[in-house]
Amino acid sequence: MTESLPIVDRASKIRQNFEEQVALIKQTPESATLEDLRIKFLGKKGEITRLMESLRNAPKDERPTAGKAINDLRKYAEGEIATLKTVVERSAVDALLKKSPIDVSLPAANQSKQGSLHPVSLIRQKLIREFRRLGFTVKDGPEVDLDYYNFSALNFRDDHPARDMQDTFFVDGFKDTLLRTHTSNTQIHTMLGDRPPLRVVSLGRTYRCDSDLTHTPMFHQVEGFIVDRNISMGDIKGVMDHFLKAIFGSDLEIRLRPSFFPFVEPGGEVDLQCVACRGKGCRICSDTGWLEIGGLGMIHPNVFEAVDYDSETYTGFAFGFGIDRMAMLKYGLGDLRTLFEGDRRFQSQFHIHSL
Amino acid sequence: MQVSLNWLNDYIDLDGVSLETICTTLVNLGLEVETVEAFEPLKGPIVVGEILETEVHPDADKLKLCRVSTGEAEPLTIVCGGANARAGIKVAVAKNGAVLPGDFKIKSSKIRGQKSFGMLCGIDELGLGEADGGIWELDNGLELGRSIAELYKTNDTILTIGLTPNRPDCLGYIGIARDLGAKLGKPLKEPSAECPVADSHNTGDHIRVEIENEDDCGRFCALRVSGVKPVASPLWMKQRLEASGIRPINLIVDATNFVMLEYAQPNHAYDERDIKGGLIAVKRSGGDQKFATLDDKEHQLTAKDILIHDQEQAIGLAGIMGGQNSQVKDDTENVVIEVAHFNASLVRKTSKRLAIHTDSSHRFERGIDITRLDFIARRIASLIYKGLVETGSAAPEVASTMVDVYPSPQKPSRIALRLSRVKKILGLSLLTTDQCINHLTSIGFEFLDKKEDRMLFEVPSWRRDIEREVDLIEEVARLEGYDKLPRTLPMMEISPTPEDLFIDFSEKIKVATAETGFHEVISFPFTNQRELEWLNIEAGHPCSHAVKLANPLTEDQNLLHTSNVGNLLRAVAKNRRVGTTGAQLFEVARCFYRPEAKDGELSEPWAMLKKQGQHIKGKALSDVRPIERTRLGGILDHPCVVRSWDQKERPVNFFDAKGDLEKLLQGVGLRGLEFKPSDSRDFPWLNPTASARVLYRGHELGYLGETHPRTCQDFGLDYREAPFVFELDLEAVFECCLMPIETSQSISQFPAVSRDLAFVVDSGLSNADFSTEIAAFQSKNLSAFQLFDQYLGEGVPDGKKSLAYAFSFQSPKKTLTDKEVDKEIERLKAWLKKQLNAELR
Repeated sequence: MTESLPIVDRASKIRQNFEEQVALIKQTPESATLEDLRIKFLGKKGEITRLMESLRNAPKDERPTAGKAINDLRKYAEGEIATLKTVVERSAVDALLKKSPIDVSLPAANQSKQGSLHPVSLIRQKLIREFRRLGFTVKDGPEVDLDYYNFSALNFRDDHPARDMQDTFFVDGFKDTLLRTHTSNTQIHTMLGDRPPLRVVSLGRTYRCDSDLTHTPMFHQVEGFIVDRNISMGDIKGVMDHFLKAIFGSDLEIRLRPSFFPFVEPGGEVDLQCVACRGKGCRICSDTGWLEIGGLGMIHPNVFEAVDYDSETYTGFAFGFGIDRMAMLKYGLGDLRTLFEGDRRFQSQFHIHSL
Repeated sequence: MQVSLNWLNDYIDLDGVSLETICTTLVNLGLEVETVEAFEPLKGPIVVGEILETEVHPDADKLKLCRVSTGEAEPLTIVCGGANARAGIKVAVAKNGAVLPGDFKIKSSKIRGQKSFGMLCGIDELGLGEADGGIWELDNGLELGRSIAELYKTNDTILTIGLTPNRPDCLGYIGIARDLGAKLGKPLKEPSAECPVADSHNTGDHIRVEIENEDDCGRFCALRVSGVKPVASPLWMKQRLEASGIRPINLIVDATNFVMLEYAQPNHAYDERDIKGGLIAVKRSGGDQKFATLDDKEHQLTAKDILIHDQEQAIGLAGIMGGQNSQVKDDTENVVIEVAHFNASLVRKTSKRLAIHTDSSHRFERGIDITRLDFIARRIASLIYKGLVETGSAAPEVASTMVDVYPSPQKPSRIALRLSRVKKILGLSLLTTDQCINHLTSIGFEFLDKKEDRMLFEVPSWRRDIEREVDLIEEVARLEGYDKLPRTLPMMEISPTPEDLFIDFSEKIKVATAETGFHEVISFPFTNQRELEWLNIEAGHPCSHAVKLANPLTEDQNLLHTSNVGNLLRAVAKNRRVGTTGAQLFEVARCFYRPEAKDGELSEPWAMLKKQGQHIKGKALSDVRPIERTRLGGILDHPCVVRSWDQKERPVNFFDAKGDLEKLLQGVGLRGLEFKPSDSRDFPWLNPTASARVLYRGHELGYLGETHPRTCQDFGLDYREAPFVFELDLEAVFECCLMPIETSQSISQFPAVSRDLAFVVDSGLSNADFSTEIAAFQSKNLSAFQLFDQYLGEGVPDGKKSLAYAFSFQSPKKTLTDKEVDKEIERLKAWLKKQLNAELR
């Protein structure tokens, strides 16, 4: 039995055996066989470990030489295994790289899970951002409101044809209650609660009983107003210019022309050079080069008086625009009604954040 | 207002002013030009010609072959049937390519075998006069080849001007001419009302006028003209009316319309025979009374309608329309011209209620100039006189005096204007008092006085919209031009208005929902009773208290929605119809409830309706108004996973929806939602076997579930493929988002040890029940646990199920030994055995 051989001889026999196996692994380097090798020689019950244990029983004089031989053998085996390990890993990595490449044009996994925001919401995001940059505070108001906030406090007199400018939905069973026809009701709600200086913008749903190619019974408006001691009409021009350029591009000019809304005086409308043709004239702007964007003006002193502000001390301006139209212009949409049809195919063209 | 430039040219000299300048100037004055159209009744070559010779048509006795010169080298041969066609007369020749009124195109043709190169026209064929049986013989002095359209000014340009309701004065040519002239620097040429009158002819001898109430009728002028004939009006009058969109009828009616269009003052001419007893009385309707207007429609009146009465009966609906028998007739001889002022508000109410909108009511509602009614009456009479004389009829007798009842003559109003205020409002720092005065006087304001920077003006009677200083400032701005306004940015203090966090929150949760895979839709918040029934909403349910519209566009849009579900189900149905499956949609919208909703008993999931939406603040909170809550609704259609190369298609299930809901709420910072089984009465549109209330730390946020199969059918969806829906009350979610989040004080640096254990429990026990007991287990080191398997079937006794959890143990102080973990596990097993009779599987 080998047991009876001197330890040194046994060590060299083990070494010989080990070398043979190493040579085999070198031919086909696999991590599993390498691990088997390690266990076989260096494991808890491995040959070298057992040899080490047998040292205890060896004659005393033999021990130093035998001990050294075993140690040498162990170090040698450990070194060889470590070297082999790099060889094995390198060959495994090489094998990974030799696989045939995947078809990168296959569709992505989980692709249906990307949602979107409605184009009106995207414009809304942008408007809020631009107005906040100018120091405006965003406010909200009721969609069902009383005549007082929607009309009479805004200087719309009873039985005046100015009320016909806005076809109104009335609510049954409540006194003088209606669906707001514009976001201007927020002016009154805000001014009744806060004192100047005010710089407020309000965006939301508004309603008029009108439905055709260019009108929907529900639509979106943005309303802005400023009240302070020294606000002039030049300031509206500056603010309009800033924010329309921010949204539609700084190459477009604006113009103001007189118009009438009961809650402003002087009142006007703002036109923007056509977004599609950049002012040259096209089908969208009926060859005028200009697009009507919205109404504006200096807040009427009657409005200030309705909310108990001193109309001599305070001046202010207000403006109101349709957001749906802006979204259509911004995204080149032709038919207003597609905005409200809830078609996933239409909606999935849009993204989540506006730039 | 349809404006003919030919007519406008009568009041200001527009020769040499380009159409573009006219349009731009009007727009800059606030008189918006909506359309510009060429009005060309005579198109192409229609010119003056001379008949050189005629011969009888070889095959037709009544036709002639005429050789006609139009000034060109070669005369034309034209076949003509006019009896008066003869050599030497000047005629109107329509050459090849001409188009006559009625789209009658002229081209060379063969008439009974003879070639004809055009047509010799009758005056009626050109629309320039009444038919006289022959061709039109022109003045012999006219130059050959001249355009007939030019000679008779038949070409015109028609502008449609969109007027704002504050400018009733511009509902007449004079008003528009005044503004335009002021801006162009052209004086206004006011027409004359002069005409010969019969001294002994007094209107008062024939007509009495009584006004019951001067608030209803502030002034009434009646002027009698006798010996009239309802002949056709002269060409210029007809042309002007037609170009302005009014059909000429006869001289009397045309003259009244003509002056209405000049001065924006409605009026009427009665056949004197229709004013029984010579009495015109302006009084209220007796209440329950019927009246037939001249358009042959009968109307039910109320005590708020003003009527014109004669001795016997009502003959006109004041300010709106005359009665059936008050029209001028073919044999009318004597007329009484009415020019009056009626109460704008009452005219408006009557016109709205009876749905009769006329040129007259349109102007009365907006306000007319009460001070010039007598002039208007004279102007109409003068036109009748002129028209009769011009058309060769006998001159009428215009009364020298009229009846003018004007109990309280209107005093002119005076308004002061401070230059400093003009500068402040407009931001025009270089403006002078002289400029202000020039601008205002150019449009009829009278400058009275000036003291330092304060100017005093008298407001012209036709500008009833001018009430205070700021109105004068607008006039100055208009005439100065809005293009002159500077472009500045406001100088302000930093605004102290607090931001409304809910608005930001709403934006964020929309983004979070979209990021979870949903597409946002926006729809109209309208519904109807039938749709509420489709949602199984019964009377008494909070969602049954829908707000009703008094004037809906259609009856199926007569309620405001109380939930987003209806719109989402309709959207999915629409998407399925076009073959789009798997739609995941959401909408954020206000829902509206009548206050009864909050007055009744509300179950916990709906208790949030006790509170008004948080955008309603301050004074508005004490109004009687519907409750508005902002809600987010979402819908998940099948399939959840679309068939792809790496995965199989499968239908959406409750837990997909639950996962999405958790993800989107994590997007706004809410972790640890609770899902409790819901009472089917709370959300009756959900399938009771797959629905849950959604809560956070005990606060109700909304619900989630599979759509009720019957609801699906009602909305046109296959009940076997019921979509999943959820709704969140965003204000409730927002309040939860404001709660402080619980953070751990120390995060362990030592490794966690994980153990998997499966328990057999009663099958009725939920994961939530089990988790509650684990959470109640007292342990310093149990740091997390998660269900990883649920199993019913072989190997597990009937009535039992197996729940498998992965438990994590971790100490903040040290690395745990196996022994320590084993000890904890033993305690845990004992605890669960005791609490839930859970056996280790």
